[in-house]
Amino acid sequence: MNASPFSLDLAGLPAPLAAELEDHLMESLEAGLRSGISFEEARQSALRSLGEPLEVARRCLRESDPRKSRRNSMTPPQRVALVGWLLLGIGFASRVCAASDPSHGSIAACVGLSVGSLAMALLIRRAWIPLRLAIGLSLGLTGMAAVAFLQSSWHPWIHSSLALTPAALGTLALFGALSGGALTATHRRTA
Amino acid sequence: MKINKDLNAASASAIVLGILQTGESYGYAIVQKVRELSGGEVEWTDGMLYPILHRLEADGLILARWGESETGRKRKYYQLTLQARPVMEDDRRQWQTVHAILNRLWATEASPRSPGGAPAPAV
Repeated sequence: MNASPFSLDLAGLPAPLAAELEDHLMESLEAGLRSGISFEEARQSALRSLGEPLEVARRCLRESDPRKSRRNSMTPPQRVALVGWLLLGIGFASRVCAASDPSHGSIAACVGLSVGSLAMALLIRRAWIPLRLAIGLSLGLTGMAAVAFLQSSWHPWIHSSLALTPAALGTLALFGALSGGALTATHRRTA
Repeated sequence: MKINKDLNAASASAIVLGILQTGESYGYAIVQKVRELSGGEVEWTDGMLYPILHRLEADGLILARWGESETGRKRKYYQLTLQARPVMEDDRRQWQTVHAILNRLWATEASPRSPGGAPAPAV
């Protein structure tokens, strides 16, 4: 296989990016040769037009960063509300998970919350990480309330271990579902 | 007259999306198309395009696939996704609004004024 005349210039770049830039440089070089300039002049001209490959690659990687995605643009009040909601959720989760008298119900609820939150956070791709966590937390709360409802139908003592009444659990589930929906809608609107 | 750097940067995404609206393309061809469409007035450095393409891809507005050039070289082709349509429509409205504002301002500026500052009445 022939070595590319730009191998050294592109050395060290991630392979897909190097392949893309090499194709560009080769096209540019071929255009230069067609215009009648020498091989070396065409090679230098192609490199000048592209700019420093390492710098181009660095900017490409920065722009590919999902945290910079336009989809994640949120207004400052939305960010404050999001962080507030995260803190509230984390505070509540720590209270449930650190119950003085852990029961099967509270452990199941805690697991439901954690798994639901993490699963949703992982499933929502290319979103600002706190937004993913907040949506996950909202849905995790809904999952937790559902688990607690199911558990309480078999183990009535769940109410004391969670210190929450069925009405409070219902409110929690509704709040989790609504806030999760609202956050997801915000995520889509800013896309 | 050359388009200045700020205006180039502001319009680049909309231009790339507009070019890809006509079908899938790749980096070098996009740069050439911009030069052709602008009659050489828009001077993009070739390296400026790739970060834009990668951002649009990260935003889910364009999709990339690897193919081959006519000479067998690996080539990355880009095409619009369905998500790009509403964004392009929004871009179009915004640019048209800016265009209309500037047109009105410059039309007012160009019309003859009375000594008091108000535009002269039409005859």
